[in-house]
Amino acid sequence: MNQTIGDFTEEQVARIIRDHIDQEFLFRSRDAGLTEEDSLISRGVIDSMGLFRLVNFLERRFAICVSPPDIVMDNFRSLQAIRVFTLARLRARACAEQC
Amino acid sequence: MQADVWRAFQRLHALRSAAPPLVRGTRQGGTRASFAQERLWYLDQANPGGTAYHLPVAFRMEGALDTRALRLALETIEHRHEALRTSFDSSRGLVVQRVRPPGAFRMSSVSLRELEPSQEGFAARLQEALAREAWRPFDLLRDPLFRATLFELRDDDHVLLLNFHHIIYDGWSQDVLFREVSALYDAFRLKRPSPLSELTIQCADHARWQRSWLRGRVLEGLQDHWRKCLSSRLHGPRLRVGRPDAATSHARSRELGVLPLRLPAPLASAVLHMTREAGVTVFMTLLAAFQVLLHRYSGNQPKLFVCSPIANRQRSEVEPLIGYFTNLLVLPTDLRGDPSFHQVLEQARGMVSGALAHQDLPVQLMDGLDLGNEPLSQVLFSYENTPRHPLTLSELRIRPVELSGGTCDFDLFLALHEDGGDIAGTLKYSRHLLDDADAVRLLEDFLAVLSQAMAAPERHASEFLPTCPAGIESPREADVPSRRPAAATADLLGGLRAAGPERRKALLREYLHETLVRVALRGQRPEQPIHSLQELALDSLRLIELTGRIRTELSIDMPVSRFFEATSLEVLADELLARWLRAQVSETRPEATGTGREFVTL
Repeated sequence: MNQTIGDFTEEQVARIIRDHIDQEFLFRSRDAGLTEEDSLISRGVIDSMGLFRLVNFLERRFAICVSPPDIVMDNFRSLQAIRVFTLARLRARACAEQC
Repeated sequence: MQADVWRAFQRLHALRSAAPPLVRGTRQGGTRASFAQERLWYLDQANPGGTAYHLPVAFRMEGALDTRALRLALETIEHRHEALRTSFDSSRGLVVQRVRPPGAFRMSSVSLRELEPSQEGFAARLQEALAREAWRPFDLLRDPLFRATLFELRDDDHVLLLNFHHIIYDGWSQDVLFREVSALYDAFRLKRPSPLSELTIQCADHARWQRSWLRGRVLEGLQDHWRKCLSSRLHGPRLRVGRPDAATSHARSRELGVLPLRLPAPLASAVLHMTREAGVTVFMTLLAAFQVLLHRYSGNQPKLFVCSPIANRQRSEVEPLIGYFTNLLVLPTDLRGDPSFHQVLEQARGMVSGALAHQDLPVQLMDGLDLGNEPLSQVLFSYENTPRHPLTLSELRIRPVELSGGTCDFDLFLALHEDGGDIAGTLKYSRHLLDDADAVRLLEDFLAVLSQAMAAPERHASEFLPTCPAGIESPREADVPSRRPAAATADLLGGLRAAGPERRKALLREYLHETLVRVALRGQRPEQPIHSLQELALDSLRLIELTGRIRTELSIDMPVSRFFEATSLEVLADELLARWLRAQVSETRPEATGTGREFVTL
């Protein structure tokens, strides 16, 4: 899992997202045991306002474009889902730059 | 979350994605205030020197404080954030913000070394010193709207008081401030340079961007939504506890009371569980319970609304800024037919999803918002789940110091947030309306409603709080018509044309007085005639409505600031008459009937 996509390795992407969630959403939380698959939404980690902060962050940090149809549960349900989505967007961008 | 909630997010994202770029612009000649700032500016004009919009915070700092590092940190913050160097003025009828060059900020020092912390009366004397500084009025035109005072108790014991006027600061700003002060202090202590990156844009840029974005089709789309949502006349909850007569009063200052609240862990878990099951957000679940509480406390008032302040930081560019961005969402609910809690929650889901998608419309642009003559901020509710950054300075023990005193412009404000997996917050209330025992009872009842609702969501609204003292139904008083009949305005204009000079003055004075009674006092006759706008302590929407209505009904073009500069109704009537006469001489204008818009966009 350490393929480089654009300016990031997969590992970096995973770490950046995890750090951001820890810092911005789980701060001071007892809930340190969040796993990759845990639902961020049903656990109340990400609520409506939080989602937009997260989208803004992903766009800025990874220079990707999140379009309205991307804003669905499947892309934001867990740490893993956010990572998979971000990597897909990074790949699409890298591919577009090469073509 | 259910599909409609996600659709709301998509719609909001689409709307925001289509906005023009937010870039840095010139500051020359001042920039028009943002919509949010404009709202607060009006409130201040109506009640100059009021303290309801002071946002002071104080910290006891024990240990070896590096005063130089702290002073440098605050100076750097003032330098970084234009909002902290901004004052406000009215020019040609528009509210403008003017940014001063950096460098004027001074952290004041006050020695309280004569107080001995172990002595009796120490706490009271410290409180007194803090309160004096915290509630010292701000002049929006002349004063810095950010102040810092360091109270020295001993060499290793200090209290830092930071004070802001709300017009340049909000809850989110506090987070930015604490993060930055913490980082800067730690760096400066070690003689290192600032670790913070430069800000690309500032509040004035956002204000300009907001006005260029919210026009044409974007504005119409947002207004359409709110017009549909708020199509019927809105009613704030008329609480029947405490001193109901004092509710939503226009008293100049209402003493603020604050109570802390923390949901017991099993209840917080139940809230999360219900939220997940119902496909909603925590905000919606807590709001629905609060609405049921208000319904019961108002004698089963069938329709009511609450307002919810939201961060309104649409773009990542404004996330790192200190400034006032908050917008208010108007959230009505309809409890006719005694719905179950589950139905109330469903309704909250629909209403809040729609409101979220259309949250970028400043409240004063909500065309058709009909509050009768009620103020907007009666009952407020908020829930945040973003972290709050504490103030931490290396090697110092820091504890927040509660400040006594303070006033508010609302009746009730339930402000909740997620705190380390718990749900906690405060109930702020007007002591004019509730005494402390009433407020404690209200909080207990909120927790009771919430746990009953989580246990039995099929329970009907009227079945909550069976012994609620206010739960006796009674017919509502008749609503006072809020709009002036078109015929009356036409009569006035006809009368003005036909009358001689003295009669014209009298007609206009009478018109002004009647309009004030109608807008400001809900049609209730005052005991004494009204002499000036200032004595009414109106809320912002009323003021915007009032000035807009007078200008529209009389077809008079007059700068907004002139309304507040007039020292009495007499002076105002004279000025209006002079302007009306000038307009008559220059042209025959089409008559404005005042039946169109509820208030004029300024």
